[in-house]
Amino acid sequence: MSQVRPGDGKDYLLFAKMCNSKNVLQLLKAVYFEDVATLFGSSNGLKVTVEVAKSIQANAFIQHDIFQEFKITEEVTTFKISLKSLVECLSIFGVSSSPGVTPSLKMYYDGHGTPLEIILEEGGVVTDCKIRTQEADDTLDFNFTNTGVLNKIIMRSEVLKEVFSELDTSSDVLEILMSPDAPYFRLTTYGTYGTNHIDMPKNSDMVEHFMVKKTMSQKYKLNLLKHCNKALAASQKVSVRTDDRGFLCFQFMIKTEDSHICFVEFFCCPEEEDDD
Amino acid sequence: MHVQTDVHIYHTLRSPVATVRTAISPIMHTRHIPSFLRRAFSVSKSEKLTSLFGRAVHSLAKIGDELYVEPGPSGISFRTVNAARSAFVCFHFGSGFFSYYDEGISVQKECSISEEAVKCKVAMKAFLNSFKSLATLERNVERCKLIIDGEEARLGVQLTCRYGIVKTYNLSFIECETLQAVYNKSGCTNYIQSQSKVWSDVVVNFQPNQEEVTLCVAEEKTIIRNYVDDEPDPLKAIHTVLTMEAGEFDGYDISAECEVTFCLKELRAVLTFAEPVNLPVSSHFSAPGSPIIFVCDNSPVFEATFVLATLSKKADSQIARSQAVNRQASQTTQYQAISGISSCLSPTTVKHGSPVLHSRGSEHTSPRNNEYIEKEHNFEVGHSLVHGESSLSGNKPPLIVVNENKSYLGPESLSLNALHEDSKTLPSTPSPPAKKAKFFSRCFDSTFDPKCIPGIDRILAEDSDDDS
Repeated sequence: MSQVRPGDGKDYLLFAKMCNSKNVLQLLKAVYFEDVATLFGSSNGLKVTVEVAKSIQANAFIQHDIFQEFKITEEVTTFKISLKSLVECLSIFGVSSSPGVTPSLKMYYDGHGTPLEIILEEGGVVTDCKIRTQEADDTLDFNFTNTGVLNKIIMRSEVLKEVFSELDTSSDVLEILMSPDAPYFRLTTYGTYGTNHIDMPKNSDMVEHFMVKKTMSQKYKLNLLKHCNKALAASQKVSVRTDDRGFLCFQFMIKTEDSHICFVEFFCCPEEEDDD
Repeated sequence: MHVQTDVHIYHTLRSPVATVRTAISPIMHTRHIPSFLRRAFSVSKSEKLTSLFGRAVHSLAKIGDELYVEPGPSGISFRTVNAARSAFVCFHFGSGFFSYYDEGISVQKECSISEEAVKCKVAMKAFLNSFKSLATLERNVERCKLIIDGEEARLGVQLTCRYGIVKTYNLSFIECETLQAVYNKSGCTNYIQSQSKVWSDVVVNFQPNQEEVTLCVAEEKTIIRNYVDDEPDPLKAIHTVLTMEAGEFDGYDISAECEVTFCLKELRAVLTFAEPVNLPVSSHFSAPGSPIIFVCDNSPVFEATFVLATLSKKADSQIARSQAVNRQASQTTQYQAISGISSCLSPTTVKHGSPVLHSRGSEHTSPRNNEYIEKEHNFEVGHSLVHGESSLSGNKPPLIVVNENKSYLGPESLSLNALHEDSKTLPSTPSPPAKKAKFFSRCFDSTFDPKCIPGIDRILAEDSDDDS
C-alpha cells in the first residue's frame, strides 16, 4: 500500500486505535440525530458535538483511556464532519459478528483540510475510509455551570425510557417540574386529547439521588427532547439537572461493550413563555 | 373535591385472581353539598383487573370512535357504537369490580332532589391512549383510578405504576344522554354458548380481510362460512366452510334452522376481550335481519354485550353484480341498522342507492345516490340474499348474489325483481342519466341566455382598455 502510517516515520496530528470499534459506534449513534457533527480532539480524548436549531446540543465524550492508543500532537484540534458518513463507515461490517471477533479501528487525522481516515479490520477483511472534513463552526456554549445548578435528580434510565416512549406526541411541549415537595418530579404534556402528567416520587426505587432546592417548572420543545431517546435507550443511568435560568441538562451514563463508562450529555434551552 | 356518600364500603374483590381485601365500613360524616357543586366519581381497581379493563377498552376501540360513560348505582357502563350503527358494545362493570366505587350521587338530607351522576362521552382515541400498551398495563400498573369531574367536564384516568410512578390523563368530555340500542336478548330464538377459544379457532380460519361470515345453524350442526359478496365470478372467490357438531358447544339451543350473516371484524373485537380472559361467549340470535348478540357474562362483576347487525333477507330480491364504486361507498352500510339507537345521536347520513335494477357489468350509479336518509326505528336494509338450493353443497357456484346498492332504504321504496343465476339473459342496463343534467341543468338549458341575467346591463366600472 502506498499510504504512509505512523511507525513509517510520519506523525499524524491525531491518531487513535481501538480494538473494538463498536464502542465508538455506540456512542456516536447516541448523538446521531443530525447529519453534521463537530469533533474536538484533545489530550482528554474526543468530543463529538451535535446541535439542532441552536436550541439543543448533544456531546458524546470518548475519553482517551478507552482507546488502545491515543496520540495527539497539538493541544486541541477541531473539525466538522458528516456524522452520517462516519456512522455508516463504522457500521460497515454490520451488526452481527461471531463472538470474540470484533472490528478493530484505526483513526488518522492530519490537520486542517485533510480527510479523516478510518481503517477497520475484522477477521482479515480491511476497510479503508476517508471522510472529508470541514472547518468547524463555533458551537454553542450553554454556559451551564455546576454552580448554577439548582436541581439535580439521578435515576435509572429504564423508567425514564418507558415514560419518554409513552409521551403524548401531539403535544408541542414537555413541561418538567422539579420540586422539593410533591409531586417532586413531574412531566406534563398538553396534547390534543388533554393534559397528561407523569409523576415520580423522590423515594422511588428508581431514583438514586434527589437534590432539589427550589420548585422549578419549565417547558421544552418535545420534538427537540425526542433526540435524547437514543442516548436514553443506550444508557443505564441518567442525571437530570436544571439551572437557575431553566436550562436543562441530561447526562447519560453509557456502558460500552467493553464495559467502559462513557458519558453523553444533552443541553436544552427552555421554551419562552409568551404570557404578555 | 369528591362528593361523598354517607357510607363508604370497601368491597371485597370478587374476581378470584385479585387479592381479597377485608370489608371495612367506616361511616363518614355527611357533608353538606349544595346541588350546584360538581359531581365527582372515583373507582380504583387492582392489578389484574386493570389489564382486563384495558382489554375492554381495546375491544371498544375496535368498534367505535366515541366512548359513552355512564355511572350508575350498580356500576358503570362503557358503551360505543360504530359509525354505520351496525355494532353496539356495552361493557358494564359492577361496583364489585372495583375496590372503591362512588358514583357521585349525593344523598342529602336537606335536598330532596337526588341528582343523577354525570353521563358523558369522550373521544375513544383519548381514552385508549391511557391504556395503549396492554403489556405495560400487565407489567407495571398496580392501580387504576377513574374520576369523572362534572364541574370541569373532565374525565381523569390515574394509573399508579411500579416504582411509585403515577400517570394521570385528563380528558375532556361532553355531557350526553344515554346511548342505548334497542334489542331483545330474551326474545332471541336461538342460543349458542361456547368457550371463547372455540370461536377463536373458528375465526382464525378465515382470511384476514374477510368482511362477513355467515353462521348457519341447524339442529345437529352448525356451519360457518365466509360471506362472498359482490364477487363478479363466484368461482374465483375463496370459500371457507367450517362445520361443527352441536356437541362442540357448551350450550346449544336452536329453535329453527336459520342463517345469519354478520361482520367478522366485530366478532374479532368480541374475542379481543373474551379470549385472554378465557370467558365463555354466548350468542343470541333469531332470524336474519335481527341482531346477533354476543355476551361475556361474569355478573355481577362485569358483563360485556356486543350487539351486531345481521344482513336481512328479502323474499324476492334484486340481484346485481356490484361494482367497485358502489362497494366503497356502501361497504359499511349493508346491515340492518340496529333499531332504536338513541335519538340524541346525529342522524346517520349514509349514501344509498336506488332500488333500480342493475345487471351485471353496469357501472351505473343511480340519481338517488346522494340522498340522505335519516335513521329511524326498524329500518330495513335493501340488501338481499338469494340462496339457491344447493348453496350449501359447494358443488355449484354459489348463488349468493348481492344487491349492488347496499344501504339503508325504506321498505316501501324497494322494487324487487327476482333473478336467477344465469344473468346472461338479463336485459342490459339503460344508459346512465346524465348527472350533470340534474345538477347543472340550467347550464344546458338551451333557453338560457347569459344576457338575461339581471343586472348585466348595469356597468359598475368602465372598460379601461378601450380599443376604440
